[in-house]
Amino acid sequence: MKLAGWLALAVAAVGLPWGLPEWLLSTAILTLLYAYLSQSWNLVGGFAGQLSLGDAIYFGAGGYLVTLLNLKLGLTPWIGLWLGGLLGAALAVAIGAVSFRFGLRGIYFAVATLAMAELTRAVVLESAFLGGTWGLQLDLKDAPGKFQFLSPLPYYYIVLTMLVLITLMAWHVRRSRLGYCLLAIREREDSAEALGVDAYRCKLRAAGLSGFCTAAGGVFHAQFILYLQPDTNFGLDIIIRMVLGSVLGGKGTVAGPILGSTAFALLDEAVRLIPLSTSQGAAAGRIIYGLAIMAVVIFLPSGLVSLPGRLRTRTGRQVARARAEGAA
Amino acid sequence: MVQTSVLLQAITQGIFLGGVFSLIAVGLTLVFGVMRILNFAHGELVSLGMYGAYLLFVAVGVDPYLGALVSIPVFLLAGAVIYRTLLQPILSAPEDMQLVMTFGLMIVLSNLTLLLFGADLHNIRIAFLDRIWATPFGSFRVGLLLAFVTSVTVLGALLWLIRYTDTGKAIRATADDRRGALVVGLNVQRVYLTAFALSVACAGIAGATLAGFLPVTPGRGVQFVLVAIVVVVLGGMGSFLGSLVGGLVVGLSQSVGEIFLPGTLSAALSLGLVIVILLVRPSGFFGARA
Repeated sequence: MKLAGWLALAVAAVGLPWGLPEWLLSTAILTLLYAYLSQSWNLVGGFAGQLSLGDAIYFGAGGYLVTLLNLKLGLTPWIGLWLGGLLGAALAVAIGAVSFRFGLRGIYFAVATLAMAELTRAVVLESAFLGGTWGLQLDLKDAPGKFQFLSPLPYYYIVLTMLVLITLMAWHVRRSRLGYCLLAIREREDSAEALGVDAYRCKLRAAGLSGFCTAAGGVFHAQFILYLQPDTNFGLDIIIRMVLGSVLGGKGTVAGPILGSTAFALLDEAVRLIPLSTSQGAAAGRIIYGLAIMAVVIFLPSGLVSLPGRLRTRTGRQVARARAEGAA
Repeated sequence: MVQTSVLLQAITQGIFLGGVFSLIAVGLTLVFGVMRILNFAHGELVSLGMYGAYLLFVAVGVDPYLGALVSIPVFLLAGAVIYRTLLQPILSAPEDMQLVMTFGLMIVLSNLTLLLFGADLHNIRIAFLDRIWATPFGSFRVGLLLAFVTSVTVLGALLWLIRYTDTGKAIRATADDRRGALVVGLNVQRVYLTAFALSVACAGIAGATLAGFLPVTPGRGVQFVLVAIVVVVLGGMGSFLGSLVGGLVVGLSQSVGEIFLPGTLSAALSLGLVIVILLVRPSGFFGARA
């Protein structure tokens, strides 16, 4: 039953581009990218419970580094991708090392990382070398050797592969020793340390993994959009999407970030159909989107992944089964 | 070398701006201190204050400072409603859920202003607000001066309320020790409600005073909340006095910093300070607790 479900999902994901008009395919690509980024945030924010609001730094750094190497030195992003990932990992480990050494937790860690991201954005805005306010731009051309395609199809399959890979990794981490250590740290860091978990190293390993993946996502974004700008690549929007997808879907679970990002992307598209003038329609849509977020927070505090379970409990099937088991 | 008169002008201007920043930040720190929730929608509430002042000006022709006083009951009520519907249900939820809730509120409010007022820039045109007032310390727009006076008055009233009234004592007691407050029979829910309503009123008044010298546009809320967070961290998260001082520091560092650095970098200066303070002394200048 479960296997059949996964198979159906795989067939649907692979076949989706044939059922979609071209303009929706771009939305699908971005949706998969946001799901991928949420999954990456989930490694630190969900598994380890460290509320990071600075991941835009890794996203932006990956995209900028690879685009600069491409524009100035002609290095293909296929190789740059790995360098960008390493830069993201290094930054994440450095930021984590400083923050965790000084014992930043919870909302204090969140504010510190947010301040770091805003600081980075301000510096990039003022840096002529990085293009300042104008940002960096790539020419639209057909150059598969340079990670550039005229058709959105290759992008779709690349980002789908990335999402599958990161999900497999998250699934593996969740079941590994590292995963259990992270969960222990999330539940109660002092007790975990008392039991011999090296919380500092575990958190840094998770941060490094997450930083690498987020930066790689930034590289993909740069190659797909062909345009980098401080406000987009280092801005608050990208981080809000990462946090929302993961927390609303169900943080700390493997399926949560995918579910959350997809559900909210679908909602985003659906509310676009509201027949108002475009700017008003967009605003009205965002209002509905925001209301949905608040509704999930109030009514499904464990995220969308808990919805089927909640429904089942409500219909009483689970209760009945528990009773039958109790009797037997 | 920078001229003394330019520096003096910048310093005075920084103090005036800082007064308004303090008022914005006090609202944020009040909620954080009492409820331990960092309200990302606070900046949008300031934005609503700006639009409220604009509406009153268009409808009745009152200036923003008088308008601020008139709209206090509306903002108190709005705060109470937001608390009851959105925050009370998630008081014991994990921090990230609470954060996401305020993100959601931020998205709703910012798009609400966009939907109702459009993306255009609105100005409150009252002749005396644009008048320039020359002093030995430099020349200022009357609007900015009145904004400072209004902010300081409201801050003074709030300080009195927190220091000397029973409501204020209850708020301070709950901020100190929630369980202790419960034990001595305080109605903690009501304290939360009061604190949040006061916080929204601060945001509304601060917005109205800003509308006296800034054009009213949507999309400013994020900037406001970021400035408020900076102020709150500098002063110590949850510390009332800290916000007053923090507001002045940020106001000064922005207006004086602009003489020496390009605009965004002078804002970056205070962000850098925020990171250092969080690492070294997370309780800020004035906070007692870490």
